[in-house]
Amino acid sequence: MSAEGLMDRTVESEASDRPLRAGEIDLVRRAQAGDPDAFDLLVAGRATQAYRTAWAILRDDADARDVTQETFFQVWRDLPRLRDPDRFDAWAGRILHNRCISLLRRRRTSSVREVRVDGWDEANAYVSGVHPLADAQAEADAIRRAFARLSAEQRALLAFHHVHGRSVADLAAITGAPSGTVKWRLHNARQALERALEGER
Amino acid sequence: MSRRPPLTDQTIAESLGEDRAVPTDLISSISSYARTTRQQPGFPVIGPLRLRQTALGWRLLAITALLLLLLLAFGITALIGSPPRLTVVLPSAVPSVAPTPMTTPSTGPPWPAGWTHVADIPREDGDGVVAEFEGQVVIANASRGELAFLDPDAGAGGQIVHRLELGPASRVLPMLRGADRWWVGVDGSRELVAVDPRARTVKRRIPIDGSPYNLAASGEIVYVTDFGGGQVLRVDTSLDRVTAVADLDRAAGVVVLDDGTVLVASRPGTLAQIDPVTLATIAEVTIQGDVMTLIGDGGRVIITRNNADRLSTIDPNDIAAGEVLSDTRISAFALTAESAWGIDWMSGAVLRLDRGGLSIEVEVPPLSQDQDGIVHAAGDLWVEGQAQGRPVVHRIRPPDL
Repeated sequence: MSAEGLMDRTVESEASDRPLRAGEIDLVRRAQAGDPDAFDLLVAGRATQAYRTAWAILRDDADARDVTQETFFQVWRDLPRLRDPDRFDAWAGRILHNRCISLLRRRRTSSVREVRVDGWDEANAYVSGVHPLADAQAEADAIRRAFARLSAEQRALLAFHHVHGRSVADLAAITGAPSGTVKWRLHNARQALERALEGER
Repeated sequence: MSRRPPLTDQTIAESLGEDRAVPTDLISSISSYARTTRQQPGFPVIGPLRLRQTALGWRLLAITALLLLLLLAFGITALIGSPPRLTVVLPSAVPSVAPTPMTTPSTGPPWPAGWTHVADIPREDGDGVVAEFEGQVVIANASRGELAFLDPDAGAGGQIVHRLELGPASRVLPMLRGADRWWVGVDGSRELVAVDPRARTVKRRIPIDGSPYNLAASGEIVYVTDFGGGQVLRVDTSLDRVTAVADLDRAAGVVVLDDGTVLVASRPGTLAQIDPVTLATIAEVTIQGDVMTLIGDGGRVIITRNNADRLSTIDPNDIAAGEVLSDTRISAFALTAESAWGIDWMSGAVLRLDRGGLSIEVEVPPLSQDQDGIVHAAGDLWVEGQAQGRPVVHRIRPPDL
């Protein structure tokens, strides 16, 4: 089966638990018919969330920008091939997901890339407990560093779930995996993050 | 001892989800793209068939019933015993190469007849197979800025036998192979590095004011695309310096043909013939975007693209005629004299492609989810992947062509 066929099958067989409103479905249909104004409206409602998700996964402005742009370019090009407009978000999310993972694989630094935090004294960060704000900031930095050690798929899952707010059903539609598998993978990703965080402590 | 708050959904969301606004020019860029780019044609819409009113309908009903019967029969057969043609050939069936302890159990979908999983060779995180040299598999590790050499005859089924440090890098190291010298682009140090692949040593370094993305050569001249810097550079390696620079937004692929013609492609979707000396544009054509590399292949140029987009070919003698798109979407590509190979962009399956039309001839289910990067060497395919949670190179033997 070709990749294109696989994609179509997945879009057809999985449903997002957040169906589009009637007005948005009309926008998708108009965009499918080649109306760029309708496409602009679809993009306007989704670009920020897509960019933030891409940034959360990739931790790089230029890459997040590239991936977001290329995702919407592909969405425009392939939109006439989307058979069910109601599944637009799952379909577009899948493209964003795959592009993020592909870029991480090409970058091939996901397991060793460090997010540097200037002025953070690793040895003393959690000893005092005197400054709650500093502690919270240090904790967030540690989580980011731990996150950078995860695999591309784990990063994408956690970012889509926690940053993009995608549900398990959404993620099933995006990744093409059954909901049970997504739950298991999310659980594993969360455990991997905790283990990596222990390494940061 | 340290005191840490528990890891909650909220702390993850707050740590990862910074409040970042999308760049305004990104929205306008997408809008502009939609106004200037034609969409792919949609699927043909077929209305509901009125089966009772047409003879065709009755035929369709009969064919459907027949297919259902066949499927039922196939299912019963499968319950009794798997058809031998779909059985995976285990590594033990290959006497010439002993399997390694890392060999993945064959628990996945069945492989096509004749394909063999020979061995899994351990690699380091970040290692990605990129090239072949005299039967060896060459692996680039961008995060370490090094090349690794995998000898198919060492160890049990192959082994990485040497690592060569090149310099700081952040992306896949672009390589250009010659008979006795390779050029490797290192983006961190902004250098072209000459490597002796036999001695496995660095011969010299040429600083360039750019981050190499792809390379092509004609004699002593190396053409470099700088994706991030939006430029193409001409480097005269006999002088150790850049002799010409041309602007090209997100410059991606570059190739020098046998007659000296130089073609460059940009990610947004232009293919241009440029002057080999001044780099001035001679002719230009619009192609589908997301271009990664250009590969000279006799009388044609193969265009590879970012994962979800299609392989295509173009006649370099008539680029105005445009490209010929295939339906094949891959994330890695390897070309040999007899065949072409790829990794399915979505499933990670190994693909054998028709050498002419680049359509998919054979699809081999992936051994692991992270399959990416493919090279044909020593008669086998070498695919980066995972086994038991650790990075490996899968050694896969295709049937004789």
